[in-house]
Amino acid sequence: MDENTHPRRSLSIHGKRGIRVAIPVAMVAGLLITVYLVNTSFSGERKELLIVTTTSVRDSGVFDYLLEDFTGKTGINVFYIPAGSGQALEYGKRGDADGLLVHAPEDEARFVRDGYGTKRYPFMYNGFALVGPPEDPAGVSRAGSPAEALGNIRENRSVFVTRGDESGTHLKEKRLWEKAGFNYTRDINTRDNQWYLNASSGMGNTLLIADEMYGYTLCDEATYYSYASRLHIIILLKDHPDLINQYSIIPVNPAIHPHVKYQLTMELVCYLISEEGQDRISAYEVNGHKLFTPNASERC
Amino acid sequence: MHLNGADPMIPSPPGFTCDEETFRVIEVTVMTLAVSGGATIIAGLIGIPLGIYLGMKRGRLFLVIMTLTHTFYGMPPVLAGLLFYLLLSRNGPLGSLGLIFTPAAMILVQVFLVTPIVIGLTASAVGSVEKSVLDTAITLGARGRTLLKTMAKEARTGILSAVMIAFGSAISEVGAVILVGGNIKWRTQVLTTAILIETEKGNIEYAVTLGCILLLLSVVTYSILTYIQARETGMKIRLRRKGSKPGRKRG
Repeated sequence: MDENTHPRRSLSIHGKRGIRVAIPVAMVAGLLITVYLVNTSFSGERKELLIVTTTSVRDSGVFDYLLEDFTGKTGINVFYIPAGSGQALEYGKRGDADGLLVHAPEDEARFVRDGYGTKRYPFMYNGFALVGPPEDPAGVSRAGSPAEALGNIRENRSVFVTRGDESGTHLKEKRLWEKAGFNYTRDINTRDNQWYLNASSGMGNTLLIADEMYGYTLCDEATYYSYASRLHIIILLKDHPDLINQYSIIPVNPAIHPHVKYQLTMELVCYLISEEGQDRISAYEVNGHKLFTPNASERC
Repeated sequence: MHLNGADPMIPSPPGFTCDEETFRVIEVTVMTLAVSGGATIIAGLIGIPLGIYLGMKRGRLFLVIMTLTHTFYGMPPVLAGLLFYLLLSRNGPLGSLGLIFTPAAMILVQVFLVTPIVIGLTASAVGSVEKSVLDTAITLGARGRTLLKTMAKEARTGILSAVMIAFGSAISEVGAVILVGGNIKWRTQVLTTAILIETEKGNIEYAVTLGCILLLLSVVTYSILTYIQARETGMKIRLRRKGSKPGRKRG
């Protein structure tokens, strides 16, 4: 009999055989998955698009709703990265996405002027609203304009929660403060202003924070209505010309970034500004509220 | 909602249907395991041999490299994420690879983050093997791969712990993967980033579900780790005794 039949010895070998087989098998399996993932990462030829969208578009669910129809018709899979408008424009400049869906008109115009985008296609808008506690200590609902309302909030030192993330909503808010006659960095966004809270996050989160703090905030109506059921704060001021929130889609310029999928992006653009896409936008409702108004000025 | 927008990477088996929420939970979990598991394996392949080699060195080089490794332990993941974003972004030096916002980019950044952990822990495990063992092995003529294998065997518990700890920190990492992965639904979303976004969207229940799965993965990982460590120390005897009872063959 050789040494392998020794009881203790054979027991320990028997016990280890499982591990000896399991470790390489697990490693090979893991590596295969990894290789597969890496392989699928190169999506050059596939009908796939990468769009950077603002968080408000994602939070309201409208983009998922439109894409469902678009993907069904064209077979183009659209993936999207939720980001604030500032971040979205930066991604666009670097060529990390095929198109941008944003709402910061001045910055968009500069983006296109600088050649990073081919053209700006405005296709829908919704309204911003000033929301706050129902008691409304600063009298926002009685103000004649958003600028006046913001002035009251500052005067009253009521809590105001800002997105603070260079998103379209944040840029809009900054412009409203300027319109109310304040210098944003000197009079509003300072360390001493303890009533002015910087949430540094998306619209949904900012709303939840404002709700917890019984504060005011500027919010697009779409996101507000999607969150309304869990909020105490209410809409105090809306439907003012200063509160229009215009959304546009911009294809990234293939002349600067040759790898972007310009043709596929244009298919999405054409769908969004087509009669069909526009009808679908106006049909979108959350909790019985129409959220967006289509306003494309041209067709493909 | 349609599922043809779902990731082609994870095909749903024919005849298998479930609602979107469940499908997403599965998808996100599989993606988490694939990204962090893949990163851990690669980190192991790089880090274990390096760690063993370093662990056998006693001297200035060992100290210098260990200091470096320990510094990288403290590398904030979000900084690593930013670094890799700049590196892989289309404008960056490696932009032409087109890896930004893909699972491959997430694996890369996680390899960068956990390899130092594997190297450091492996090196200290090997370093704590009695010097006489090393000397004996060398005296007996072990060189190169044989020596590496011998030391790996001597320090196997420590090495396995290193790998498990690396995996544990990879699955719970969020800052780096969100920056290089972009947190794209159906594509580069992992458990941590999905929790972040669902909380932000106010889907607290869904976020909690994902959180529970993440916690479960951690518990399983660290249970295996604890079991392995326990087997090597006092509890090994107890387990053996049980194992020698009739009806249980494995020790």
